[in-house]
Amino acid sequence: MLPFTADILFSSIAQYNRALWPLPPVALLLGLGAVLLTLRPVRDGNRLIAGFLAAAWLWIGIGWHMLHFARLDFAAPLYGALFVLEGLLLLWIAIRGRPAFRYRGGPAGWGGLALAMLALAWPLVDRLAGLTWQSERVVGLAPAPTTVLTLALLLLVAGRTPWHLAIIPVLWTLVAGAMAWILWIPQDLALPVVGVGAAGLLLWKNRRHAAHRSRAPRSG
Amino acid sequence: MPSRAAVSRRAFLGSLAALAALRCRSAHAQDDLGPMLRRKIPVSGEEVPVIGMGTWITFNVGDDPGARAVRVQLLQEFFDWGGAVIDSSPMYGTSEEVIGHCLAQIGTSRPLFAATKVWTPLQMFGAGQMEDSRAYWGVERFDLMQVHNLLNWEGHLETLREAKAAGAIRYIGITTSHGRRHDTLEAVMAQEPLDAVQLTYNILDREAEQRLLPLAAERGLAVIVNRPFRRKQLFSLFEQHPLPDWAGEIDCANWAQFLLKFVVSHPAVTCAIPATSRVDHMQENMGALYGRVPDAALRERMIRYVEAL
Repeated sequence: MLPFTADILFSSIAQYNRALWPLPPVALLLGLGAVLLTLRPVRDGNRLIAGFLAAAWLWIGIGWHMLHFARLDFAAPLYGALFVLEGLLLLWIAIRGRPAFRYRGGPAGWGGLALAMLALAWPLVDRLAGLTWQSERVVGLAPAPTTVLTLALLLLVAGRTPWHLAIIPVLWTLVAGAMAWILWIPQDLALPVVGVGAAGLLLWKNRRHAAHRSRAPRSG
Repeated sequence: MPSRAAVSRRAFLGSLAALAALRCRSAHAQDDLGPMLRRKIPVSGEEVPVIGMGTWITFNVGDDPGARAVRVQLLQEFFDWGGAVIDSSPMYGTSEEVIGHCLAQIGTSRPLFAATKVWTPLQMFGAGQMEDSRAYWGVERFDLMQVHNLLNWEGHLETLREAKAAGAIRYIGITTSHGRRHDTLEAVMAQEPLDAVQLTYNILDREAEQRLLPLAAERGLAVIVNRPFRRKQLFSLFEQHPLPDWAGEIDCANWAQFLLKFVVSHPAVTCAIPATSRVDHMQENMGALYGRVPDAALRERMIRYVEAL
């Protein structure tokens, strides 16, 4: 049972977006930039991508869940802690500068690009669902599109994707899907499908990578 | 959106007089269906109206100015009908802040019976939380402070007893909901010096009738009933069906009044606290504060009627 309605949730998002303006379009452009970097790698591009994701998860954990939405939902600090943990894991990736985020085609690559486009188009999805532009959720600042973009970029990791980075995003798609069901937010009902689908693709991708490595000739 | 006031033609005719009087009441006229239904708080003999107001979800609207304005109207309507008991909790997000906002907008001359809860795992945080709640509501003191869902009830009851002795609160109680932890609730009711208990009771969820309501009567405890509509579920179940012809005999013009009169007609019940975010639903709920109430035989008939739907 949730202590708020969908109307109040989106009213709160509108208030949050207004308070952060002009960050929503800036965050959207940064998200787009992160996706473009997987297509046209540059020096330190991996750090920039992981750094953007880390900043987004940390900001949403602290700024949205703990500071803004905790007034309305007693569970928000718990969600915030999960987002901060994911942000710290991604921050470590940003510091190390690996793994590399690089589009290489194939089912995981196509799936990653498709999810990235969905994440970036989330404001449009919200608009089509009948929300006003003030309540639209933007990647980097709102949980749902940021989770989808994170799963997309993990699918675009060259080689094996570290599993531990996908656990909290997949978990969040399930939590958000349950909330969508209770509050009836139809567009968010896609989130568990995205999460489970991305988890399946990641599993397939990592197994394929492991099989390739085992077949590769050993040197020395 | 379907109206929850699905009234059959016959039931409507049967309660036409009641409805007319209710309309007058809604227009704040003095002619009415008779005296307001009140019950005594056993420990003091103080009377409270049998219909109060809960605030779970409905008052958790944050800073939304439009939603806050509707809550001011809602509370105004509640008071205009003679309501007094408002129940909330720190668990309900911004509900307590919004209640305070509404009370400040309406003015302090209303006969408010302020009830909230303490909801924190650690006893050491209880006093601070109660003070925060008092500041949110903007009241001098709470009439009733309850331990929410039995969370650390041993520790918090100690704090509540001290606060009552110091005059910071008037009554103390414990709560549960959804029919959970009735065994623990029964044990606390039997052993601890309490003034009130809050529990779930409605026309389909009647487990409380077996042991808890008789024990409350035996121990002289006020009983506040939450979830009298099982949130909205009872309307979903019943609203497509007509009220029985005889609903007019107990002055019920709609399902809300039918369901509430069932709850408050139990001799051990002091007050029911339905929650709503709509002014028209508030009017329906508060209509149950007037008119005749079912006797034991009619209560049985009410149960048989809804169970046959």
